[in-house]
Amino acid sequence: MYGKSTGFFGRWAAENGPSAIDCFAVYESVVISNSEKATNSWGDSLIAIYPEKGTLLSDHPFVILDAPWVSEYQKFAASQYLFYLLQEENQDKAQDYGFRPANPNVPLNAEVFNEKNGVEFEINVTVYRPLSGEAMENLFTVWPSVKNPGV
Amino acid sequence: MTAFSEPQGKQNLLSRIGVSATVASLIIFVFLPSFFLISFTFTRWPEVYTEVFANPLIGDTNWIEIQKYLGLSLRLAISAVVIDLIFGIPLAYILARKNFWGKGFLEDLITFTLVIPTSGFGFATLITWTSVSGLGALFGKGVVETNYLLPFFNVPFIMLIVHIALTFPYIVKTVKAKLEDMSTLFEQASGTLGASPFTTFRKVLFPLTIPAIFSGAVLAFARSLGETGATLVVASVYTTAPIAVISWVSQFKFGPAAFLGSLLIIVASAIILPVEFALHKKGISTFSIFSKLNLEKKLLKVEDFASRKLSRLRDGVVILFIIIVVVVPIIVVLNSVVLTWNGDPITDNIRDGVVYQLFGPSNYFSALLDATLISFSSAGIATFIAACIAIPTVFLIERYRFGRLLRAILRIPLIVPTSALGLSILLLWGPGGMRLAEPGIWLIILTHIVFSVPVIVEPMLATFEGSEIPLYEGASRTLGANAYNTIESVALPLLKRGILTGVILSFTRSLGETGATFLVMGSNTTIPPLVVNMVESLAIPAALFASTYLIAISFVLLMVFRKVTSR
Repeated sequence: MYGKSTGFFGRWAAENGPSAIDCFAVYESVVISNSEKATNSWGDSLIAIYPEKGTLLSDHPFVILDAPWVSEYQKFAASQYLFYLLQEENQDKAQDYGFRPANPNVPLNAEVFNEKNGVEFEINVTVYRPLSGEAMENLFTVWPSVKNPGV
Repeated sequence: MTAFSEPQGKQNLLSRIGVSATVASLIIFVFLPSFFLISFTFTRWPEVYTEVFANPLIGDTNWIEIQKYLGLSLRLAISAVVIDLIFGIPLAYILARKNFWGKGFLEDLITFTLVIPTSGFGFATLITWTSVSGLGALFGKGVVETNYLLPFFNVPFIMLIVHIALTFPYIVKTVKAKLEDMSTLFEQASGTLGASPFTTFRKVLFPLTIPAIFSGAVLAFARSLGETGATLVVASVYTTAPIAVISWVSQFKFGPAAFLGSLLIIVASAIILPVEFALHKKGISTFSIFSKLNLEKKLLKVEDFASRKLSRLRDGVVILFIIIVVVVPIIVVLNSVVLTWNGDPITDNIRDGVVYQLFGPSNYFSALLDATLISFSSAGIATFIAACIAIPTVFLIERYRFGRLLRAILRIPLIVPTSALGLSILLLWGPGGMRLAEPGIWLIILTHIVFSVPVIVEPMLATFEGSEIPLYEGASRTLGANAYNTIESVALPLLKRGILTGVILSFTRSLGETGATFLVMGSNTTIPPLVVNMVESLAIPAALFASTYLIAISFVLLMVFRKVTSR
């Protein structure tokens, strides 16, 4: 574990350059936010590699709970917030931070998603659906048996 | 025992009430939360069994891993304590016996690592050693790889450095408090009889300070075993037991988390308790081994030489030690704050600057002010309540036969990994359990009391033992004072230094606590979790600033403390 956040890890990698680390797995947004830094300090930009066999999108799910302890008002407030998040101007703002829009009406910003920032405008590999909850949990379970054994 | 067993019925009743009130509050506020975790192992045994010993996917891999986690944690704690002792004891001696320019500042530096949020300090150390913005700036790349394994100790280098920095103050503070309370008469006598300072130290001071050294070492050992926040940041591919506990908690696998937490408690007790009992039985005689080996004469010569030639070297090495583990990381943090004040130094992006992040749309500055209020009130109240429980506890430990046992059990809250403690508190007092308090400031206070009581008790005991308190009390009682007057006007003033040391240690630990607070705070964020939140939302310059802010606050606080407590 390198801390809890891949963002910090990406920043560390960009700061310390190719001699510190060759490749690492992070979000596209982390690549975008650190590419300028990497270019300026090492003359070499970060390059996102999209695996040929396909990749996953972190979809940042928004869930409104339908449970006995959630009141109608709370559900309403949550739905209003979802509405706000999906509004075109707000989706557009999120692009500045390297997030691809969830609202299909919002055009992808080519100033953010381009080769200069180390990422591709369009993702040309298969995008898989998220794994089932059970499979995700099993991933965590088998992790200790496949990870770098450390000491 | 005699002091309490008064013939008068009224006194007897009062003392009984006092004793039972102390024991009751200890059980409710300190022991119950610590042991509630263990009970989880039993109530959720089926889950523990399938997860750890007979997992359908990976069999008993988790059990094998658990043994490795515990092994690493123990090696780390022992190595850290050994190095702490090597540098900590001379440091305590210098601070207690010498006067020099900047002494107060040096004392504050030592307390710093207790105050800085551990995750923040972990960061600072990580940057210092592994990146070009730290010491690496001199070489163009990081000084060490994050996963560099130290030979012989067989522990990750950077983890060891962090653990040393976070634990050595416990040894320095406890030993120093003890030395300051000891009269210099013995040393002078030894000196007049021709012993060199090193010999005096070995034959006179060392035996007298053994209780303090031991209690400091135990505090440091326990702290290292339970350390979570900073270790997490520097862990790389290694996993210590507390980190494994956290990762299980984050997957909602409370059973295995509680199981590992309980194992940690059991293993640590198995190491701490026998050592303590052996030490109390044999006392100082264990250390006269030198004379049996007929090394005495040679040793005296060496010590004489060392006292004449090496005392400068000793001072220098100790100062260098502090500079490396404490000062350099602090300077790296300050330097980063200055560099990123207006924007990122490399890209000039103002969004990555301190000013924008503090006063821009995310407005971290006002969040920081709110967090300051909550941090201070919770640390203050928790320390006050803990002191109210701890002071009578010390008398119980010293006067009753069950005291030794009480003292031993009191070590356990220190070993519980903080995240596991938070979980335990949440399930015990929180909405899912007794509903004593909603997540928020009161639950934070309840959590901090658990580790504050033992932190205050230890230095008090160190002062108590070897002092002549029972003697003076006896005198006071013979002269007709009653039990309470005696405690108030004889024992407590003599314990003043121990109490103050304990209170400062507890307050600062409370101020910097991250792991447990995170789980119980609800919306009442204290500063350390706020720093973690900043880091997670990638506002790293803001996080660096918050760390600086905390360093500044603690500096002021420590100066005030020093003014108030100076004699």
